[in-house]
Amino acid sequence: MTEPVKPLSTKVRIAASLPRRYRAEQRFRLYGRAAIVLAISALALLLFSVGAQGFSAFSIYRFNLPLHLDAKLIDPKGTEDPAIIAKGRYRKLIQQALSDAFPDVRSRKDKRQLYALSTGLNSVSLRNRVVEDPSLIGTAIRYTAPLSDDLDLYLKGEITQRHFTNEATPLTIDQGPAKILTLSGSPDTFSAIMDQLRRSRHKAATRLDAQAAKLRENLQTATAEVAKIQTTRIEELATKADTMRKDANAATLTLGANDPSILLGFHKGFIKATEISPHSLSGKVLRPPTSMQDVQNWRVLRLDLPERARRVSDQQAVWAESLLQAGFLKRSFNAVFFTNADSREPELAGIAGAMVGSILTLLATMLAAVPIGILAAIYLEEFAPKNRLTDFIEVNINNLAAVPSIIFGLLGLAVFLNMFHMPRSAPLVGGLVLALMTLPVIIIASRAAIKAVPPSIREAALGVGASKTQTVFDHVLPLAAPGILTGTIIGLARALGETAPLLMIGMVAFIADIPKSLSSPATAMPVQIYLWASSAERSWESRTAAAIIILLLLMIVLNLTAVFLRHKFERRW
Amino acid sequence: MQAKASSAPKVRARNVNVFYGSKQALFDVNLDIPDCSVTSFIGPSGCGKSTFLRCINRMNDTIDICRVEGDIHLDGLDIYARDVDPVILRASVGMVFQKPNPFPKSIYDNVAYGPRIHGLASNTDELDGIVETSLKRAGLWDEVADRLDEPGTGLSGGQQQRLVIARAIAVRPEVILMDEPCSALDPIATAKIEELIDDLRAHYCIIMVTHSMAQAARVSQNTAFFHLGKLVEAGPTEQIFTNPNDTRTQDYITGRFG
Repeated sequence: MTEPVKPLSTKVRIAASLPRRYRAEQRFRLYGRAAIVLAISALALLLFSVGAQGFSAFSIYRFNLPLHLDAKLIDPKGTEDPAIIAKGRYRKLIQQALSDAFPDVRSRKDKRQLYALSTGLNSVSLRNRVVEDPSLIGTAIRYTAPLSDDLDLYLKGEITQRHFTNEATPLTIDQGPAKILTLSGSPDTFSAIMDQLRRSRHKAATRLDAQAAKLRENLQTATAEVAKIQTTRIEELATKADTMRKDANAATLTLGANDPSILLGFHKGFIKATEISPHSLSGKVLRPPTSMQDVQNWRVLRLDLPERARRVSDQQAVWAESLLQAGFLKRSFNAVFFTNADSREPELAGIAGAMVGSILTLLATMLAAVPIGILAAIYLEEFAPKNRLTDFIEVNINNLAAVPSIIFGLLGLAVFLNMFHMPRSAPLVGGLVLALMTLPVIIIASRAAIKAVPPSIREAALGVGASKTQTVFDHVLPLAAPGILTGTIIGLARALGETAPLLMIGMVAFIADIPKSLSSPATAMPVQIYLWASSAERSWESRTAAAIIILLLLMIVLNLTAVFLRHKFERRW
Repeated sequence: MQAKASSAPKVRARNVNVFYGSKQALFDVNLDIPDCSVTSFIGPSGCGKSTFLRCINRMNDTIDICRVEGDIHLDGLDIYARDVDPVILRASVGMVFQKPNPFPKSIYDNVAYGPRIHGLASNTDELDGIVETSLKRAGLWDEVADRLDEPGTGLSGGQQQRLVIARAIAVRPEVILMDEPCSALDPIATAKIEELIDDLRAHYCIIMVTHSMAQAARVSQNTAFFHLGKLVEAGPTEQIFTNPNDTRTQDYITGRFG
């Protein structure tokens, strides 16, 4: 009869502990949410940065230039022999088309600059076009090759921002000494430009001050010898900044190598400002205007990055602007990126070669790894006796799954290439190496899937007299299929993204052709990304990012397939 | 000789010992089971009745560590003889499990699977016939005749269990082993299964493991009581329930332990 007290005290105790338990639960939920938010924001950051960088590679500026296919340069004797047509001087034709657009360009130095607008490799596609259709010879066609990658970047505003301002105050033109024009207008016409220049000079001076201040900080810890050098340097910087400020405040500004470029466009011509006062501006002619009459409408193009700090000269920028304005340049979808293989020129480089290489490699991987992996898993799980040997095998399979992939590459190099003398750089070898790497993943996933099939299904099949093999293939395998498929596809997706082993067997070579078979030299998407990422030119940056986007999309497609297949084949019992 | 053969037991077990690794699960079981009747195995959990049942169609072969000693004869033939293929044996000794375990396939395919793998039907018409008779015998035909292509797993528990019985019947077994066939079912489904077992008795030797004393009394003609791996007592059900020889049997039946 003393018992009834106990339930009450139990209740009280439980009630007392409840808030703590609920708090713990809430805390845990909060941690979970925080983890997910962190993960998603990391992913979003990655996707955003890749997307922002890669986006511009999907469009490109292409020429839309009239080009006369002069018979004298292709087939002077009119033989119509394809061999002779193929040897035509197509590069010269392209250069002529550019010269026709800018007839004022005379000097060799300027011409070399002008011809750099279109890479020499473009002559190959022009030649192919003519060889395919010799009737074009002697006619005028539209030349549509991509613009040189540096100019492309310039027009996209990725080298420096192109600040345009349109003006409508009247100006008169005075011919100065050789190639110098002076434009004059009402007072204050150029004040705004001058203010801009002054500001940028002050900014540069402030930067020099900051540099000097930093050196001064280091002075205390430096040795006497170093301090001496640095003191001189600080003084230099100070003088430089002073001159800069003084120059900035002068009534007439003379533009130097450290100043932004001010390009003035009028009458279809361009001059580069060298001296500016509030009412007049003198400049070097970069493209002669069509007339010397008074100007009503003109525009100013300001490029903040000084000319010497960029790969595109003011002269080239002016040509690109003129071509663009005349409609001889068009921005369009970068189809070349999806149809070409790798190239030395970024504007001609594409991922088609790497993509086909990846697909062929993955095909070889699939053909080798999937049947072996699944059959091995079935044997180990359903038929093999459980003894020390199979335990040993299991441990080793698990170990194999954790071996760094480059080791598999070395193995492939030593065995497939050096022992069996298989072709270098071939998707076949790459596929086999990746198959070795993927095998343990497939085996482990398949074993787990087979193990998860309830034993009652096996008993049911055995109970009606099915043999072991019939039981496995009629009942266990179909039920394990979704799990096996998921594991296999995840393994293959990993193989698709693998780089290191492919480097070892030579799939890192520069290959300018789309591979045609399992044994032709090829490269793969991740290797292509690696190659481009380590290239120097700026244009590779966006192409690398674009290739990453494509690779990610491929991965997403693969993984979605895995999810889809799992749902499709999932059966309940 | 003929007369003797018909009165001879369908299944004859002599000195059956079963080991799981080093642990012995059955000790010297001797039992005769007659044809065309229902025999119940009763006893507390872990007494070895299921183990013995699984010996009769060599289901224990699938367990690596399990070892069976002694003789079990089916129609006078040693089923553990070297030349007996367990696949053929299991075709003639069907089995129904505790939890209904239809294949995740259509009702039709569930029943047709056995005949198909054994090649019992030479054409689809014949197979259709086997499926129909089996489902009819299992008393399920009227309920599923118009939805044979629906998954067997979509049926109710009791229907699933009858489907499983139909699946077992389809391969024309002589003996049907049932391991607690009603333990996962409600009373109405149980009653249906019991009715079915009573019908099937005319054609098959049915051996059933059950935890329900009432079920054993209702359905079976013979009962065997197992305790701690030993066969304590076996005989006609009426005698076991009304006048057991052994006190342990008496105690178990009256609910004093178990």
